[in-house]
Amino acid sequence: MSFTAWYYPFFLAVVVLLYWRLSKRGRIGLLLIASYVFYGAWDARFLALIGFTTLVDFYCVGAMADADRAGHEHRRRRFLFFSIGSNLSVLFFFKYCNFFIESAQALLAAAGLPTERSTLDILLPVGISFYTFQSIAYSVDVYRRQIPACRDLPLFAVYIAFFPQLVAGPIERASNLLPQLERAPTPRLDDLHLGLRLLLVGFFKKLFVANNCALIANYAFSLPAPNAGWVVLGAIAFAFQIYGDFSGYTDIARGSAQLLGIRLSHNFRFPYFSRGPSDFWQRWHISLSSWFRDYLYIPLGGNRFGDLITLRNLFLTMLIAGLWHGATWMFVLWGAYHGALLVLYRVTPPLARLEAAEGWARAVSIPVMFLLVLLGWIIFRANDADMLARMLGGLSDWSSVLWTDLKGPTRWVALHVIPLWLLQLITRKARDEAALDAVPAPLRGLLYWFLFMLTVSCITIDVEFIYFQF
Amino acid sequence: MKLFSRAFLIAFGLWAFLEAGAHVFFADGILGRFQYGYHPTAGWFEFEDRTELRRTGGARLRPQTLPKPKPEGLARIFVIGGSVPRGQHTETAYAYQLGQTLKAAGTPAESYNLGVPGYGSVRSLILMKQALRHEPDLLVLHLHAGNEYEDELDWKRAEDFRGWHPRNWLMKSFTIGRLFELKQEQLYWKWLSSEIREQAMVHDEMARIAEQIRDPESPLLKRWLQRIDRNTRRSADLALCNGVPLLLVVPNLLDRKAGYHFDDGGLGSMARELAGRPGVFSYWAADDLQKLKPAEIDPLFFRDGTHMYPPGHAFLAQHLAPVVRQALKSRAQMKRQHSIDECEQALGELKPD
Repeated sequence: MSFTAWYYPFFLAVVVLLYWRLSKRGRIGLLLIASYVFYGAWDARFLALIGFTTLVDFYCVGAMADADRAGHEHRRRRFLFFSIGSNLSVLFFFKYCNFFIESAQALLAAAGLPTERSTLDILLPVGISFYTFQSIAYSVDVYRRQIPACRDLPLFAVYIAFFPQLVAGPIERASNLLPQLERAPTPRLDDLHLGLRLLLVGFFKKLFVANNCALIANYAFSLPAPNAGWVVLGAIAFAFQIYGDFSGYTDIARGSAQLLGIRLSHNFRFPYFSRGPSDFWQRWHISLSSWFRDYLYIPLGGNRFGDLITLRNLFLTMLIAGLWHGATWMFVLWGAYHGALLVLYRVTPPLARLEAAEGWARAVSIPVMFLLVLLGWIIFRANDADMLARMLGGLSDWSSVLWTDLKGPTRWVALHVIPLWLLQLITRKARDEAALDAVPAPLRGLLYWFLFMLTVSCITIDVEFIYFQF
Repeated sequence: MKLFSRAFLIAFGLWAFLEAGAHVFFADGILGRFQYGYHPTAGWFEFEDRTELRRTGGARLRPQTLPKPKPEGLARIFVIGGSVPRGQHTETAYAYQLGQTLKAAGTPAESYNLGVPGYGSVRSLILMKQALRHEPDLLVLHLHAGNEYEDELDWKRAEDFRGWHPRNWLMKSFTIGRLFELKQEQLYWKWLSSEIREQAMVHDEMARIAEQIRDPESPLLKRWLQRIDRNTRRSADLALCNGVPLLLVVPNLLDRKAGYHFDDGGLGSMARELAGRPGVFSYWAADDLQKLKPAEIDPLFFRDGTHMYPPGHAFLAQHLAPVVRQALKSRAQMKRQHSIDECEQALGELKPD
């Protein structure tokens, strides 16, 4: 079930009303049923997969905790590897199997060896990268003795499948989500207010900003020979499409959970105001970047073994983060590009100073980083190397840029980006993209009305959330 | 902590205030809004001594006033159709010119312009139903093959507003509906090229239809011609059932590139066939226009070869007048066959099929 499906508000309302009325135990049962209904609405077959992940990790981590009590370190480690292995196997099979088969076939063909072109007929389950990563994080945290193992299967099943964040995050840590689910707190009125506000901001970002920018981005990226004007406009439109889409999803997820009295993590903090690549990854998809930091970058050695190893770790982490987004070489390239940016900013003192600088220097660092992010989005959005070459090649063609062609689409993008930008100016000081508490009530009321009207002015443009495919 | 925050109440109050204000101060304009011409009475305002035609959200009729009851001895003519009979101004369009020409020739008549841009055969029929309730002596139906697309598009748009499916609930609010419509008409359609819109065809009926009709052999185009045929026959049945003659004006589609050739849009033979019935007449101005030289034709038609400048309307009015007089004469021999309601019942629901 998508958040933008017409029936989602009804589904959510029923869940919230029942949740408010049920006992603590009943609430866990309700959330489990609701989460499986929510996920099963896409394809009920994949419920078996999520059930498999849940059972394997529940029993592995339980056994890990038992082994810990008995002082069997080897056994503990074995269960950790089994848990991580099963999660990665599921992810590999459903998401990367065909990618590696195709890549191997291409490699063999390039080497002049005979190959038979064939791939497996595999459907990608929605949100698989999110819930497997969430499950891995839980196993590792228990292994590290940062959290106790969960001994309550229904509770653990809700942790894995909690519907607001199941298909596109935030990737929650068990230390944040499990205790809240266990308490199953009775939502208060301020949860209702905050939840509704998050939903409003989330739908505004998705329906008003992302879906409308998508019209221009999709067109620009489909042109057979785009000129520089279309490349720049397409990249800007896509930058706001993907931001509105994903941060809008996060806000809707947070709002839905807040209505149940549960606080999900922040996932975005004004990423286009970043001063450098390191700053960007602390603001963009925070739950994923912190996951990679804690479960990949640090285990690889982090910055503990000298500059060269640190740079290698940074680059490798970003390369894998790129691959996490999708099984194509374009995503790997995008990860490599961001890895290279991180390395570049680290090894170039003026750039490192620029990123660290406060005050007026931000007038330079923010636009520079935004341009670099735009270039990254061109790589990310390109379906293949041909499209990427077309787009990058188009950047050199300024001669055929006609304002008459671009005028309407540019105004269209501006119309849908400026209100978001104004909203961010208001909320920026609070460091929360939906924090409007500091705004006086009458102005806030006007703002709610304005956001609502803008959102409903385009409710029939239906574009699927981008991050579902990851 | 209260259930409703102050900010929420302000936002809700603002919406409620605007909604109520729209219903109180713009009630006339709201009637039939979002039905795009499919509301039976939108644009027609009844008073004790007159009927006023107004340009409203529901029907963009040319503002005109019909005395009630109809003045004694005066023939009342309604010209129904799309943007071609509507013309640029009420006084320069052929509907008005026709009344003036008839008066000058000694036939007391008043004629009203019921041309609305984009109206095809279905909505013309809806207009005709309403015209028949206002004592007509003659109905002039200006045929046009190019508007079925808009009839279909607007029907689908109206469905979005009319339906009670939960996804349409927000559209029940006038302010929300109007904002949605405004954005679609003034920004989406104007700022974005058809190529961009066609690519984002989800919920974009206009782009969907535009793509289909690129092919001249498209089944959609054939279906539209069949629909015009069917609805024109229904128009004739309705008019004759009410004892009112019907004059079918066949379109003159000028093709300058093909040596100033006129085409009838595939509707001429159907009009001539219907004109075989007593009380039904047809006229194709091309018969008279072809006698002119290209230099004389040019000032009559727009570059699109379909719409006419005021001299074109004057030409049409002048040449149409003799046929109108003949049609008005036949009125005396015609009798109402059933009551208005019974005649309308035979039509069923009017919508693009």
